Amino acid sequence: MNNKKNLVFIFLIGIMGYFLGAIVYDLVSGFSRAGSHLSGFLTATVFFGLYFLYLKKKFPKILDDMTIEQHDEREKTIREKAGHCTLYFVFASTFIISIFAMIKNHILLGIVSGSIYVILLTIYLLLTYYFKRKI
Amino acid sequence: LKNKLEELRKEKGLNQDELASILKVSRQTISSLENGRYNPSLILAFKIAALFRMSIEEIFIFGEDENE
Repeated sequence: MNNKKNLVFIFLIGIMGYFLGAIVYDLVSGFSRAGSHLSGFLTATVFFGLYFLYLKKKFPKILDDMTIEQHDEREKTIREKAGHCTLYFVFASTFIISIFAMIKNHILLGIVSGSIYVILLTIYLLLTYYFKRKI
Repeated sequence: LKNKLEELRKEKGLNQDELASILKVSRQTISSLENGRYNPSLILAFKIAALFRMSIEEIFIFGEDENE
């Protein structure tokens, strides 16, 4: 089994676990949105755990490769760059939505998007300050 | 930053997977390094230099135009 196949398999296990958990919960104790989600996530987590135990026993090299890939410095650089671009995109989107909401008098949308913008900006500035002192 | 990584790897008779495994990085990182698309961290550069028993400057060549 190679890494790509393994990742697809992990994705499928997650989806399968989620739906199985949610459906079983709905059948056993009636429909509840929060309960279904929780049951789905818990079942998916159990499936992941079992699958990782299986990998550890049968294909330990794949787990080693996954660990290397996770700590690989090029992967980290890629994640940092992608995260940075995503952050700027979210900043710009929430700012534009806030302005649009103010112009169109959508008060609730304006408050929510404006708050998200301010919270994100505050966290960003605090983390920047923290890392400037640390590094 | 140009480098002699591919040449040195082939001299040592290693493929990209084997070199990646020794350096504990992904094969894609080795490929990107060899193609000059990615510059290594100082730690990785030291690891590579130690593996080939050379200095970093002998493997990685800094071009003057990199400053521009």
